[in-house]
Order: sequence, then structure tokens, then C-alpha cells
Amino acid sequence: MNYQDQTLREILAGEYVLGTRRGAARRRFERLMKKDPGLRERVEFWEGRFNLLAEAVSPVTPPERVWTVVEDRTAGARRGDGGIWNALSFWRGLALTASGLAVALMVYVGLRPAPEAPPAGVAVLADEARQAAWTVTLVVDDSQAKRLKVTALPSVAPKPDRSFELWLLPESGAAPVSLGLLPEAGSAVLAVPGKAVPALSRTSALAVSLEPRGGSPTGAPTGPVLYQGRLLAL
Amino acid sequence: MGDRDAFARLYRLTSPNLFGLALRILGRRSLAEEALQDAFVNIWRHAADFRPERAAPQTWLAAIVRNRALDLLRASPPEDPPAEDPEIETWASADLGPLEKAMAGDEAKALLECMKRLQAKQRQAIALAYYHGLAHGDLARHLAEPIGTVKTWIRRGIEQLKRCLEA
Repeated sequence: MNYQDQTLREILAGEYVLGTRRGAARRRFERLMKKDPGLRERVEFWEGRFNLLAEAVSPVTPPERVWTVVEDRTAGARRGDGGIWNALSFWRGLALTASGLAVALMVYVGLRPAPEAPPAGVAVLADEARQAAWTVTLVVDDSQAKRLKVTALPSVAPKPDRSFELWLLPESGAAPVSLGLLPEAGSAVLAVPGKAVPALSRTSALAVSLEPRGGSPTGAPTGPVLYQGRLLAL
Repeated sequence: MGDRDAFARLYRLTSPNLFGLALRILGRRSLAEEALQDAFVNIWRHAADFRPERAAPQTWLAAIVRNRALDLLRASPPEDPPAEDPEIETWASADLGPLEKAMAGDEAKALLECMKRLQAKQRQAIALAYYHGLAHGDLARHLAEPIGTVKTWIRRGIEQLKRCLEA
């Protein structure tokens, strides 16, 4: 086989993820993949696509004993001699993503019966200690108008004579654009101002600054940035 | 949020869907429980391998569970062929509407749209390979078609999906 042929590489990568080849053919492909990063990349592409099919599966809650065993088996792993745990930042990334997932599911469950457009992205705004303060859900409706549903978590501590202002940090590196004031309790829906719409994507970075009551008088952040987060595309 | 808490939360959130997947592939509850357990132990140990810029968390998790389920399937092949599966019937039909609600995320929706453009036979073969772990030979037996025909369905299906997904 000519392993440089692009079409063949694509097919073999897709078949590898589906698992339709067994035994020697599968092992040969695995050896090939180890020394061919381009092929590995095509496998990752198909893993990312075909595994979306898992979403169509009807969920079944596993018995509690599964979690009990998982806890037992991982309790030992934690006392290991570092190794993988040196890469703690990656683990934190996963933890943060997990809170994103939590919000995503809450939003899905919450929105399902409503005729509203499904959320396009979610974010958790957290402080430096990773304490979450607000959840943000981006909704894009049929007319491409964008809205942000923001919910304050119990950890938000109101500050007298101050407001929390939400900013979009454009990917281009341009100046932050105000998205509005955040509620100190409960939820609010912020209509995204026209000039922020083009720069606001499903994976935009967001920040919260502390401003005089009513918001920044200058149109740019004037106080300290206390919370940050990034939208996670759904 | 500590690592243990995050892990417990991740499990609570994602295990029903992932257990559904393992059950689908293995068809046997005890094996599906084993696959889910092993997969979550792997997730805990290999959390550092997760690369947010390269994979979405949901597909990363699904890949780990499915790979473990496929290993177990190969180690103890079922005595009987997979039972009639109404969800595979849906994939093999002309109307994929019932799948739209579950595949509502942008990427899942894009994949579903591209799957719609395949021939029903191609779609059915891909769904059987993904959800039941059937290899070329198993697919040929299950569908009572020559192996060459089944291989062509899969191959053409992948080629067309690729063109559609990257269009």
C-alpha cells in the first residue's frame, strides 16, 4: 500500500477509529502511526468526529458500585510518586472544563422545553483561586442576535458602591469591549451590544472588572480584573 | 474545586451517557460496568494527556470508554450476534430526524448533516462499526453481504464524510 496517498491515509485513519480492521492490519497501522505524526493527526480528527456519535446514545445510569470501585482504584494512584501529577495544570484544565460541562448540561436540561435557541457556548467566570462566581451562556438566535445569560453563584460578594462589569477580550488583541453589568445575585440576560457582536465567538475570552456603581465611566475597564473565563463551544 | 471533587463531578455528569455507550458496544451489563470502571481509572491517571486545544472533553471521554469497551469485546466476543437495535434501524432509515435532538451541539449537528448525505447502507455500516464494534468480517456476516461490498461502503462513507465535514 502506498501510505503517502492522501485518500488512503484518510480512509485508514477513519477505519482505525471505527475499528473495522483487526489483528495484524490494525497493529501495522499502529506502528505506522507512531512514526508518522501526520497520520496521528488524521486519527485525532476522526476520533473527534466519530465519537460525536456517542451523543446519540440513550443514557443509562450505572449502578453505584461502579463509582465505588473507581474511587478505590484511583485512591492508590494518587499516592504515586508524582510523574503524571507534575502536569497539574492539565488536570486543572480538565477540572475547569468539567464545570463547563456541568453548566452545559444544566443549561440543556433547563432549556429543553423552552422554544429558545440552544446555547452556543458556556463559560465559568472564576477568580485567581479558581473559585467560580458566575456562569455565562451564549445564545445565538435565528437572526444571529447574541445574548448572554449570566447567573451569579452564591460566592459572589457584592461590594458597596461598586458594580461588576463584564468585558469581551477580542481575539485580535483589540481593547476590551463592555458586555454589560453582572447581577450580584440571581440571573440576568445581557443583549450583546452591536459593536461587540462580530468579535464575540463561541470561544471568546471574558473578564470581569470592578467598576464604580453603574459601570465604567470611560468605556474601558478602570478597576482591577477580578474574574476571568473563556467560553466553551457547545 | 479539588481534583477529587472535579473527578466525582465529571463522573456524575458523564457516566450515564458513557455507560449507555459501553452497554451498546458490549451488550452485557457486567462487561459494560467493567469497561466504565477501567475507563474512569484511565481518565484519572491520564488526565494530563487531555489537550483542550486538540479535543473536546466529550469526545475525549467517549474515545477512552469506547476503546476500553472494544478491548473487552475482542477479549470475550459475544456468543450471539448483536440483537436487533432500534437505534441502528434509525441510522439505516431515510429519516434521521429522531437523532437531531440528541446531536444538537454544533459539531454533532454538522456530522449528522453529513451522515444524512451518505447512502443508507454506508450509514448503517458505519453505525454498526461504531456502536457495536463490528469489524469488516462481522459486518459482512451481520448484513449478509460480501466482505468487499461492506469494505467499499465504509471506505466511500469515510471519503464522503471527509469531503462534507471539511467543505
